Amino acid sequence: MPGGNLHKFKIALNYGADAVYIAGQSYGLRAGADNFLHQEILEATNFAHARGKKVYIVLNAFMHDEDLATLKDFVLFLEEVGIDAAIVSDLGAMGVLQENSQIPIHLSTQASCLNSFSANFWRKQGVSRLVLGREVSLQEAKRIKEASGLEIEMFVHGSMCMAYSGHCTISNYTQGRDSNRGGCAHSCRFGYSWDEDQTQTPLYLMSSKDLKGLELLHEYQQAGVDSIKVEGRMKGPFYAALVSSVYSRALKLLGAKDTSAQEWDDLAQELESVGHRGYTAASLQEKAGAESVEMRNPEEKERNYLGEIIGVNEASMFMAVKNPIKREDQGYGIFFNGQKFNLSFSQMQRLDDGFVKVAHPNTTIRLPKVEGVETHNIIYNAS
Amino acid sequence: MKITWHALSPLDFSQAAQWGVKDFLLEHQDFSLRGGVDTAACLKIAEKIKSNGGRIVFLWDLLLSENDLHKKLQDFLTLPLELRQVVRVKDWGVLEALLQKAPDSKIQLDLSSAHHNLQAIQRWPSYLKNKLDRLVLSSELPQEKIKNYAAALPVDLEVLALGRLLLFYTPRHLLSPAIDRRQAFISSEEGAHHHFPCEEYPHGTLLFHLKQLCLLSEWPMLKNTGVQYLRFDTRDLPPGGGAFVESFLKNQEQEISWNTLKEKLQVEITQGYFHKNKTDVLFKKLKNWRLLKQEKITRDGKTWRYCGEVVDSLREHSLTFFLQEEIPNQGHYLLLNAAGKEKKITFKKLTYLTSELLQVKWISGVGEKALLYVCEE
Repeated sequence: MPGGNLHKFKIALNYGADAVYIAGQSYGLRAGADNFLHQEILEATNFAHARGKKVYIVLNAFMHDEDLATLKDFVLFLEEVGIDAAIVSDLGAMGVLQENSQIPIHLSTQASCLNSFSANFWRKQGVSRLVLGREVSLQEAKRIKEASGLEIEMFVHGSMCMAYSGHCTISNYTQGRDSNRGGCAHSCRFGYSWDEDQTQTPLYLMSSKDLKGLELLHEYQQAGVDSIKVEGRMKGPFYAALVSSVYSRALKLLGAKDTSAQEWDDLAQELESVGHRGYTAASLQEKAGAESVEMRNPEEKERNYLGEIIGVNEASMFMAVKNPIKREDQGYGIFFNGQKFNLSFSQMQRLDDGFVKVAHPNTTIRLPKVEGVETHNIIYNAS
Repeated sequence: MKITWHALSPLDFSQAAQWGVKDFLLEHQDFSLRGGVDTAACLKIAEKIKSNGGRIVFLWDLLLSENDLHKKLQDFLTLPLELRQVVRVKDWGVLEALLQKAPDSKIQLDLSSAHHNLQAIQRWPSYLKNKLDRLVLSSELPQEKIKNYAAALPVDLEVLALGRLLLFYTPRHLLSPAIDRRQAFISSEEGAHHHFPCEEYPHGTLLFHLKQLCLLSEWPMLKNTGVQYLRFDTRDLPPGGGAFVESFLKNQEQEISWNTLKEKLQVEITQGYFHKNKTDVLFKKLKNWRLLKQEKITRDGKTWRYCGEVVDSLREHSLTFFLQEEIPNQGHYLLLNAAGKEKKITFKKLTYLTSELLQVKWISGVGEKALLYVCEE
């Protein structure tokens, strides 16, 4: 799971992720994310390790000489805190890691490793795990794993670059922001018209639908994929919680003997709750075609996120409100084990104990305690 | 300094060698991004080039997933040997496949993606040794770096001197499903996204910069970088522009103004990042750094430690913090808000709603997300 900041990191882990990837203030591909200070990296690593989980650091920018100059100190720090792996795409960065640490190296999808010959090249460079390009099918991934003997990680959910990862420089030349060092301006999400007919409605012909591989988890397993990966360090706590919860429960379902189609449908339905474009299986089974392009409907669907529990005492629980809530609204909460609970707002109060008809974003409300609720449980709209 | 030419660009082949044109990139339709000719046509072009003293470089710049690569490799191995003596590749899988299956082919590596540091680039000569014929550097590198790299690397280098800048490459077909065309100029209402040439091929879709890269006004500086090869791709110039480039090379022009170039080439041009690349300077504006929780800050010679943030501000009533740690009753505190304002405070009364939620008396001008620091005295 992605961890855009320490808060989302803890949420993702609490909701079931086995590992979370994070970035420091440099060297990643999301300069706009909060990212982690050194102290937070230490805290995150301790938090994860205490729960038997892992933390990966993204160093997957294509670095310039001046970036490499400061990387060594950061690598020494990462080794000291016990980071579990570094996700890298640049051969220079790889060299700095190898010269200064024993940190295992995962190849970033940014390097567009698409075939077994390429996998063997990266194996010879000392990589232990490949995050394959999103253009690779599950059947191809199986061959790559067999041929290389490396661990394979594949994306299962989230936004996708339309271009081969690492091969897009639109932002560089139009906005002066290096997309391969964290400055992507998402030009592929803009509407475009063609010059011969400027009167037409713009088409979102470069905007990919979002990946959803939930229904193909069995095929991931059959292909021998070692780790499934979710995109989204810029996404919010609701996404971190719900997607982490859904996929961790799905993996448990996969290992269970008796499962019903209804259980899988319920999980798929939950994924409809988070903001997303249209979903696609992209190239997981066959090459992504026209149906994988958003084209006319670029907006992420309405978010149902209402807020998050930020404290619980003997009688009350406190919720940070992120979207407007009316007293007559009905909400759902999700326990860390994925079970849902119903939540009524009829007795919501501000912190001066006054009852309110509408709770506004960026305020905190008091609610009667629901048994089992914990800090960082996520609340969303039932409608 | 020698010239690499795209074989599909118009040229008087009989004269080219005299102007320094040595290598010709051959773009087969099954292996090259913009390839438009089949094997038979490639052979004809190759014969013409060789008879005029040129050398063929087979351009295999497709990125290929597993199944496609195995199929293409079989096709490649059936090509006449004369076409595949030197091969330029962009996918490290293609590279490895050639090392194993076509060990006699010399390799030119296209490093136009990534590879913006010497340490990364240096790994290739030591990895490929005598198989490596040339490295093609990224157009995002400024001249100073090119010069440094040329001095440090034991292999021939090449940079693009004139031609379209590829911005985007996807295996998906983007134009035909949308507008039933294979070529178009596309524009967005957003900023500088105008008039991008967009082309769809059987293997995917390419998007180019509206301006072509042109470094001819920097000719003396280009020579001074120490690179051995400059690449010219004139196929997207109008006939007059192409003729001008031939004349420029023929006469070995030294000085030419930017305005003259714009007039003669008859297309929009840019020098790209040849003078400097500052594509990371805007990053600091991508987020509000004031809201970044720093472990410790220094003010007035004292150290202040982050301990929580405001989660609720109830006018005239209370301010509520979500605490990261327990705080002292009599401590001195610093509040930083999102607008950058700072306020030093003490609390008379602390009321804990939970172990992490602290309520204090309302403080004017402090809203949600303001950060709380405690003085380390």
